[in-house]
Amino acid sequence: MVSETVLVRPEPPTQTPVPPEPIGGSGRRPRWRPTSKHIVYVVVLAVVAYLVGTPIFYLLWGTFFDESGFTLDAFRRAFGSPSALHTVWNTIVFAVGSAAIAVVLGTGLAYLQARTDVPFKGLLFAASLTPLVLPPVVYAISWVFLYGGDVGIISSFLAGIFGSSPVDAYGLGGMIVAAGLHTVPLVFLFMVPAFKAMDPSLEEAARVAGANWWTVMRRVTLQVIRPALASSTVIVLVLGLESFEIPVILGETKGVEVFTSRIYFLMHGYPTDIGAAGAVSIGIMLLAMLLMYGTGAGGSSKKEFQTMTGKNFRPSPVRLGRAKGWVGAGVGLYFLFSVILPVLALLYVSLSPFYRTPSWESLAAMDFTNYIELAEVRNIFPATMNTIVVALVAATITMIITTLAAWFVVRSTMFGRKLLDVLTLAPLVIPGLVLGLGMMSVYLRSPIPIYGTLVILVVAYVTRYLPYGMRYSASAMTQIGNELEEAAHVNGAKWWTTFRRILLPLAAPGILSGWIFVVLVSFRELSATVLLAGPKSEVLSVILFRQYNEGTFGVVAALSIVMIAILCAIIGISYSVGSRFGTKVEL
Amino acid sequence: MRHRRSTAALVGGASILALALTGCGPSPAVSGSAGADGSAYDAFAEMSADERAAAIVAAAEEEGEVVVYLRSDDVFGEIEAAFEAEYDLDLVILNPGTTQVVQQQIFEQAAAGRIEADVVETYSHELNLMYAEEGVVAPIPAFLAESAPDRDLVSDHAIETFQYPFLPVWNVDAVTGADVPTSIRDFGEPFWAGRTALVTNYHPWYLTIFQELTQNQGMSVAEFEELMTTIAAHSSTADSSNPASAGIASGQYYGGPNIALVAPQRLTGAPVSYEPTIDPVPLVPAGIGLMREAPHPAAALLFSTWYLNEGATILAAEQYVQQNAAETDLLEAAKVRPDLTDLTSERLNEWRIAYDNLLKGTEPILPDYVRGG
Repeated sequence: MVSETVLVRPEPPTQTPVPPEPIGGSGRRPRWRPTSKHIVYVVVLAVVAYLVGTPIFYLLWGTFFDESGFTLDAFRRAFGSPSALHTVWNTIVFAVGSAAIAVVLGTGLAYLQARTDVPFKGLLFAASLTPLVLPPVVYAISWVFLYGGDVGIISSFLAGIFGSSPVDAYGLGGMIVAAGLHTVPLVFLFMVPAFKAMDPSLEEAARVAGANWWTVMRRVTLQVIRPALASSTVIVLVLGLESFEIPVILGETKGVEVFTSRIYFLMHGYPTDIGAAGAVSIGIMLLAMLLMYGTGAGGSSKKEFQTMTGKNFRPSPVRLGRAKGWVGAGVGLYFLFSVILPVLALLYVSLSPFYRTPSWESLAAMDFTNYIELAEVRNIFPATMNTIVVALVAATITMIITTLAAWFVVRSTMFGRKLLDVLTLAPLVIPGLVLGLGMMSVYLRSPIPIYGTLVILVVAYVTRYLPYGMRYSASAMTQIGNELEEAAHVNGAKWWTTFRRILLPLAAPGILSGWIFVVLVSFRELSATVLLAGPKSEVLSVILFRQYNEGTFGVVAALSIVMIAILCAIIGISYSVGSRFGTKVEL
Repeated sequence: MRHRRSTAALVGGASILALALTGCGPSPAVSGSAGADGSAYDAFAEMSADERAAAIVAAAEEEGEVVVYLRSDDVFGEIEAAFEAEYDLDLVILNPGTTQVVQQQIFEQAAAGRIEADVVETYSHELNLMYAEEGVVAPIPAFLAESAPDRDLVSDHAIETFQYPFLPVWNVDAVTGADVPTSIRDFGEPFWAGRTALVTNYHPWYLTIFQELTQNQGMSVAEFEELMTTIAAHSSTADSSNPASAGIASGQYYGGPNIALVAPQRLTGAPVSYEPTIDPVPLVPAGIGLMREAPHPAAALLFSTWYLNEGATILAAEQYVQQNAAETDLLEAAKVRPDLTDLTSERLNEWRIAYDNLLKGTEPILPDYVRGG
């Protein structure tokens, strides 16, 4: 078993053949000239270094330096309280627990979707993606409506039977399940392309050699998809460490504090304790590294994991046989709990004057008042347009940068490529609040006049979601065999041509998945946005947050339903357009 | 200025990095600033009232817009429409949702010398303590103070515009008869165990209730600590009054001792009540402040004058949203406001930490300076 951190990139592909020296040459070494590849590499490295370096510098400087110079006092302020150990423990349990749920369910669903003849594949796809569409704050609220104490829609029903509800949205358990289900789509989006890209001959060979289904799954399938599995595990682990809204809404009620709630507290005091917040962020980084090693979430992606080769293949679906009905029922159950019930709860609240346990009386009182009020919310229409534009632009730029970066990291021998890899991962450990504050401070002083405009939101989102774009792109690139690229090179194709005509089309499903993911998370990003959006650059997440604080939960629910509708439309159009242009996404 | 000093170096470093990577150039110019000392406001002081009114309108309309930062803007659609109908300039509003975010944005802008707000509306004590300490708000000009409907609303750096009453709220189906609270002490009774909501971040309420119980009602500090520890042990926490009220309405909680009045008022038809009110009701005033380096100083004065008068009538009409100084809902109740004498921003932060400790069940639950530490 290889258990290296994900930071370790695969061995570079076989050395690209060096063209023979021209006959009749002078005999001296040919003068090195930069090619388009080198220029693109330098540009990508510079852009990534700029995007990531600024907030990292802000974070580190604020943590280790004050007026008197170098200091570690920020760590004392951050972790000096008696409850600090408890906070660390809560954070680990929450991150590992929610990641375990997300990885198991996300991988299982992706396998069913990509490799089996499970019924209702369209439903499965929708079920697997919809939680991602819901902002975490909204997902948490929907859980309160469903399972809050003994008065939630479901928990009140259970309380009627058992005297007291055996399920509760509040506390560590509720946080773990809610966050786990909420991040299932992320793993799903990672794993579907990986499963689809697998050469079935590997599994067939194992079966021919007498291995049963479980052995094939364990010894072949899971081994081959390990790069994608490791990437998605790392990301959901770190997402758990960074998660803010779900712990605050479901955890604080029962006194469960995690790192992010600590950061929130530190950053909202006076004076803002950026040093202590930075120390907690560094704590998150260390925990992330420990968890990556501890859970074996790291992993290499050497050539053995390349599944997309010059050979044409189409994986044949695994027949579920008699289990088909049970599996279909399981998928339906997942769909019910992760999507239908939360969305129905939101719909119910959006149509009610205030939340109360459903009854004939409450159902009779439903109307569209909250939607009318939503239409009258100040700035709602410009903010909707801003949100769509910023999310689309940010996702596109993110995927352009990370697709190029992934090629250099995964498939080249360029000097400094490991640095590029680390840089693209670094924003994972910068909490959104710290990123927002850092960017605000820097761009208020920068000659680049983007503070208070939509551009600063694009820059923030591109920075924040570089790691995700990179994982999607790198996963896709890793699985493409070297021989395709080498063949193109031998036939005289330049780097850019090979990249554009061989790599890009083959990696397109993974890149498109990444693009969709970045659109989704950009659409709902709040922690950095709330500090960076100006009066004329408001987006929907800020309005959602404002309405939440104003206490208009009906309007919050109505806005959530509208956001879900917009995002579903964007996803549908993207897949439709993607398929038309040959990405062969067959979800 | 501690915040500015402590972040100056790191921001400078990050700026150098940004500049190095993007090329140097001048910062975007800020035109029409009130000046570092807020002197633009003084220019109107020597004029007669009529001259001043005309000069402010003319200068404001030339400036073209007024930028107002605030944290609660339910009625600002109406305010915006009414103000823009009366004057030929735009009212630009930024409401990022919480007072803390407003504060962070303005302090960072001030530290960068690039204030974009003209007027800020937030808690009055924050304006008089943190904002004044950071030097970002100007002293209230005497002529603006005169235009306030009541001179008692005016302090050094703020003019109060409305107040947040924080009071006990309960579910009328679950809490009946002798269980209806008549004093905050009642929340220490076993009846409330596991059925109470305490709202986080309400340290101004905590400070006010401490002052009331220990200074006016004869409770000792130790008794206060015991009472609050018991109430906290009975309680779950809610991140604002709104989810707490929704929880009370749904029956998840029986009640809570520190709910902002606006929250139950929104729940029309819900089984929640705050009456008969438990005396005294702590009021935490909000107010407006003028940015010392406002980019549109005349517009800031024009808006402030208008908001304190014509705007106040809109606020008063929307009584359920924001309670103005002439509170009518709670006329029968005795009210108490935080005593800010001897309060500094540091001490206020100590109250914040103490209240957080109370909710987490850790020590100390009072600042050292009130425990004699």
